[in-house]
Formats: sequence, C-alpha cells, structure tokens
Amino acid sequence: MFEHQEAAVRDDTAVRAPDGLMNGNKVPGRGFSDRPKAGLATAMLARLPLAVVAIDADLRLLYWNERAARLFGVPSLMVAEHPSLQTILPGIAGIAPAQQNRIAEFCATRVAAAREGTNEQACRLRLSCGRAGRLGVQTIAMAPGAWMVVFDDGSLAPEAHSAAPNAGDAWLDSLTGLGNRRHFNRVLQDTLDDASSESRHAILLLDLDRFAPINDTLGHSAGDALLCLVSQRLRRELRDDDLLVRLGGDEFAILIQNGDSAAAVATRVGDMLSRPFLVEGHVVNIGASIGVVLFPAPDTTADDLMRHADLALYDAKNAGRRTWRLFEPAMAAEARERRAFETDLRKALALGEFSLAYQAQLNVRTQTVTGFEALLRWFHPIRGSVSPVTFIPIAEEIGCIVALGEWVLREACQAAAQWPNGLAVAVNVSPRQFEDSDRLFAAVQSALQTSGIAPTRLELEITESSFLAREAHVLETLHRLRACGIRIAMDDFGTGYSSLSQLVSFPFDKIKIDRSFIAGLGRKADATAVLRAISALGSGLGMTTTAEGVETKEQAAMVAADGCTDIQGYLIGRPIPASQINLFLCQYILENRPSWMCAGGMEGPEQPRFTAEEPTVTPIGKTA
Amino acid sequence: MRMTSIRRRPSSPATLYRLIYRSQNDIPAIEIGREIRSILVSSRHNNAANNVTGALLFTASGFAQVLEGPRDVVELTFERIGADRRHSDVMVLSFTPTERRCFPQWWMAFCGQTASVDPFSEQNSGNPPLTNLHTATGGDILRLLEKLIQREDEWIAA
Repeated sequence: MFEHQEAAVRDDTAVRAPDGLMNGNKVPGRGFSDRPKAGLATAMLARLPLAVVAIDADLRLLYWNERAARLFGVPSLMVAEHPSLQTILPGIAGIAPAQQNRIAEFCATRVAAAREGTNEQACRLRLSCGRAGRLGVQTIAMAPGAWMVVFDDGSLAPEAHSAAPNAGDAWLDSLTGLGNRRHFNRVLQDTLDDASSESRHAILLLDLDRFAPINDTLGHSAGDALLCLVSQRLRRELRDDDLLVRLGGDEFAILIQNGDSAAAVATRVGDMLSRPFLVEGHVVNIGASIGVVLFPAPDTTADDLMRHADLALYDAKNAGRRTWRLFEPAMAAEARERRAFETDLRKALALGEFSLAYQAQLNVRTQTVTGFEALLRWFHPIRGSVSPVTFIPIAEEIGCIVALGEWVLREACQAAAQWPNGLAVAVNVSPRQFEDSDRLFAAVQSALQTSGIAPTRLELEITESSFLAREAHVLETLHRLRACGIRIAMDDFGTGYSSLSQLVSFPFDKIKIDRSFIAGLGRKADATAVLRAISALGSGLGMTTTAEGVETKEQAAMVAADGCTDIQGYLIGRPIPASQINLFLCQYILENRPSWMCAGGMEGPEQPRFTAEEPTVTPIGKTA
Repeated sequence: MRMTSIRRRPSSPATLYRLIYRSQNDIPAIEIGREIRSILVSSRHNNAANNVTGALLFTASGFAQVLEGPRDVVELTFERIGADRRHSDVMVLSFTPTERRCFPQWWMAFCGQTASVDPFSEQNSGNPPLTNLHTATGGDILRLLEKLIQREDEWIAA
C-alpha cells in the first residue's frame, strides 16, 4: 500500500522559506522580502505544482500555498485561524468518503513520525470517481517547532480538485453513488497504459436478468431501490481496490487489477445476485449475466476490451442467463461473421436474391386446393441457400424484415393474380411490421391494387408473438385490415403464450395448428386431444382450422377425423416456384386425388410428384 | 402474454411483516457448533436493537428462519443475512404483512438438534413430518417452529 516516493521538492529556495513563516507572516511571500529575488521565490512557492503547507508542533497550519488550498478545499480566509492539519485532511477533494479517515490518519502518522527529520511516504488512494490515485507526503523539519509538509498530488485526477465544486458528479452515478461509464473508461485507459506483461487484470460486465419486468410491475422507485441493493451486494464482494461502476440502466462493470481470479469473482458475484432481494415489501428474484475479459492482451485497446466483454456477456445471456462467460477470440470471429451476414442480408433485397415458394393448402371436405402459402427463400451467391430459420430472426432484429415483408406482399399478390380465380394466397406478417401499422396497411393496399386481386383472396398469417407488445394497437390494425375483406389467420397456434385469450380477442378467420402437434399424432396421447380441442374451439368461434406439417396419409386421416377443416404439408405438396403452380394444380386434379380420405381407401400415389429443393419449410415470420 | 403494468403501491416501511425463508447449510460439519453460536449471538444482538423477532431452525439439511418486524428493518436484516456465505440456495417462502407477531418475546430461538429439541424427534412423536426443508412451505416451517418453541419453553420451565 505504501510506497516510497521520489523526493518531491528539490528547490532550495522553497526549503529556506520558513524564515518568513517564523516571523509570523502567514501570507505567502512576505517572509522573503529580505532576500534577493525573494519575490520570485515567493511566486515559485505559491505556484509550485505541489501542495505545500507549514505546520507547528501542534500540527496547526502556519502557511499553505495555492495548490494546498485547492487540494484541501479550504478557503484562503481560514488561514488566519490556524486550523489543524488533521481537521482539513479529510477534506481532500475527490477522495472517496470511505477513504478520508484513512488519508487523515496516514498523513497525521507520517507527520508525527517526521518531527525529528525528513520523511517521505506515499499513500495509495481511491478517489470518489473510483480512480486509484497516490498522494505523496514528505515532511521536512525546518526550524525548532516548524515543519514543512509537501503533498505530491500529481497522480490525483486534476478534475477531482479543480475549482468546480461539483466536478466529482461528472464521474458519479447519482443513484448508486458508484462511478459511471466515463469514470470506468478513464480508469480502464489508465490501467491499460500502466499494464506490464506481468499484469493480470480483468473486466466483468454485468447485466441484470429480468430487471425490466420488475421496473414495469413494481414501479421505478422499487427498481431504483433494487439497483442500490445490487450495487451494495456487488461492493461487498469486491476488494477495496476493485473498481465497480454502474454503466447505466441495469448494467454494471467491474475492473479487477491484479486481483482474485476473475472466474472466482464472477461466480461469487453471480451467486450473490441470484439470491432473493426484498424490495418495498416484495420478494424479487433476479440474477446476472456476466461477460469476462482478461487483459492486457496483444494489440487490444480499451474499446476492444469493452466490445469483447460485451460479446462474452451476450454469450452468457444466450447460454440461458444467470451465468458468466469468458471472452474467447472465436466470439469476435462470430461477431464479425454476424456483421458480414447482416450486410449480405441488407443487400439481398436490392440484389434480387430473395424468391418465394408456394405451398398448397387443401380443404379436407371438398378435397380441393384452396390456396397457397408464400414462403420466403434466400439464395446467396456464396452462402448458397440460407435457411429462413437462420435469416428471418436476424432480419427481424436488424429491422430489414419490414421492407422484406412488403416485397413478399407485392410479389405474392402478383403471383396470385396469375392463378385461377378463387385461390387464396397466404402471406406471413412479422410482428415488427405491426410497429408501424400505417405503413403495413399501405403496403397491403398497394399490393392489392397493383396486382388487382380481390382482398378476399389475401390471407395474412400472424403469430402469437405479434401480441406481446401493444396488444390494443395490433388488434386495431387487424380490424382495419379485416374490414377491407382481407382474411386473418393465427399462425403456429399452440406454441406461444396465452393463446386462448388472443383467440377470443379477435375474430380470426383461420387457426393454423402448429406442426409439432401433427408430428406428435399417434406418438403422444395428448396430441389428438389438443387437436380435437382446437378444432372444436375453431368451429365454435367460426374459424377454420388448418393442420400444418402433414406428411403422411395416416396423419391426414387423423387430423381429418379430429375435425380440422384444412391441411398443409408435404403430403399435399412441397413448396414450389410460382412458375410451377398451374402445372401442380393440373396434375393434382388429374393424378393426386386424395384417396386416403375416401372411406376404406388408403391407396393412391405414395408421394406427391412435386418436390422442391429446399428440405425445410419455414415461412417468413417464423423462427422455428 | 399481456404486458400490462400493474403498479403496486408499496406498503409503509413501518408495517409489520413476517419473512420466512429456508436455505442450505454450507458450514463444514466440524465448525457447526461454533458458527451456530456465533450466528445466534449476533442475531440476538442485532435484532434486539432493531425490534426484529423471530426463530431460527437448524436441521441437517439447512436453515429455516422466521423474521418479524417493521418492513424496512426486515428487508435490511435479510439483505445482511441473505448474502451470508455460510448458507446458499436461499429461498424466500413468504414475505407478507401480518397483524401480530408469532414470536413476540423471542428475539431469536434456536431449535437445533440439541438434547431438548430435535425436529426429527418431532416427527417420531407423530407431529407433522418435516423430512426435508427443501420441500417445506412457509406454513410448515411456521407451525413447526411455534411447536418447538412451546416445547422449549416448557422444558425451560420444568
């Protein structure tokens, strides 16, 4: 903790200054008047970039220079009162409150021990801005009953004891009293500058899990109280020398310099935040995801470190939260690949790399094809065929799904205009498209007008997740669309959250039962029960029910028996390009009569004739 | 899922609350006697000053504790206790306002495996079973502690 310091003062003129002080001159300068160039010496002492004070045997101040006045934050008027050094020491500007007594004690001890001679020591300090500083203290005996104390505060942040009284606030998080992001960046840069090959430092980036719902349900005052409790728990798990800051929101950062293993700290801190909190009469269970990065690392800047910690944090979140991850270079490579992917995805629309495939939907009772669902395909010249499972979630995340969805609408309606009249076209709408409902409405209108198809032929498939945010707003948009004659289908039914409440909240035209239930038929006893219940529900509410992912004749027979009105899946047809639709329809009518539906008949062609290259089928807006 | 936000008005900090939690004991077997004594001493000391009463149950599988007092003090006390490294897997079973204290005169009652009281001998005598703290509800723990303390009172009086 205490380190020896180079002699702070070498200026003989300054050291001789006490003559004047002993004459009773407390105002800098007057004591030098009897010496040549005394005015210059006085000015030098006053403006020395070191805090210099003179004290008597009772530690009372006889003199201080400008720098000392600034360092201790003492108005110069007080000089006449001869305050004790001990009373002004805790006031050292910028020193963390918890450290004020420590510095006072340190200085007093040093000064007391130095009465008989010269003594130099330095004290390592933590400033209220969280930065580590060092205060050198040198006590020099000058005359009987007078000592000079020189404080070398050069390593303390100049802002910390600048003239502005609230300068420290710029470095502090007002809610928790911890340092802020600016402060963290500053210390990190210093740490990085001072790091040697032996240094073992670490950054821990923390993000609270499930904090937003706490704020939403218990209110901001409870959220703020929780953040304070979190910061206190974190502080207790760290050494005095570890830096803890709140970066903002529910994000905290820890800088560990040559400390405990970062893994141990991450585990400990994670455990502490996983324990329950009691806030304003509520039990709150949260947790933290933590990204860890070790440094110094070759050619790595502070910005790189923060980015790497962020990548590790992202990985921890993806790993299911309440966990920590150490940054690995592979994460940076993944992030680069992800950025390249996003760039390709953004350009794909302009480059015409998207296409639509159409999958037939069949009415069970009439055994006729009623329409096709438009499914988005992406063929990239280098990546090849990219699965919608991969690119749609990313397109939703980066927002290009909106433009993409509009293209799908136009393209699908154009295609449908070429089909025999009466055949419907189903288009998936992403939850993101509901964020700007006017734009969605305009896109639908435009697609209909340009293609000339009747609104009744267009069916929009939406997923339950569309309702997760701004339910009333989404419902209003759906009513507007439906008022134009457009049909609305609930897609992937049964996989989301409160399905039933959404079904009754809007008069859907169709329920599409998720393929997982159809795949479970004959294997899971409850699949049949679920299918029957949904069909009955749909029938009761005046909605048709489409079973998705029907692949075998047995499944088709079962879903028909369970009351589904329509089916879709490989059994009827794989997704095909628009150009093959007329051929498909002709051949379907001629050769692919669904004999499996006729009583006693389980014959007929084993497989439909039409196959597309894509092995998987995932429509736009679906993520699984 | 409807994400309607329901803002609940916080109760007054002075409202009487009862907290029941259970946790897993992380004290090495050899230090249990000493640590438990130290926990009891500091609990009695801190809680007497803070108007917090309650009872501590120690069994082979862990701790269960009831704390009663003004809401803010119970919250503060739990912030200290909950983060103690001598236990883990801390689970709050109940934290609710209450009309009256169940343990008014007890600052902290130790119901351990002492000669006088042993939760497992409770079971043997046909009282409600508590084979595993990890499956006990807040109500189970409250009832068991009340019963044990009565017995200890009787034992002391006898």
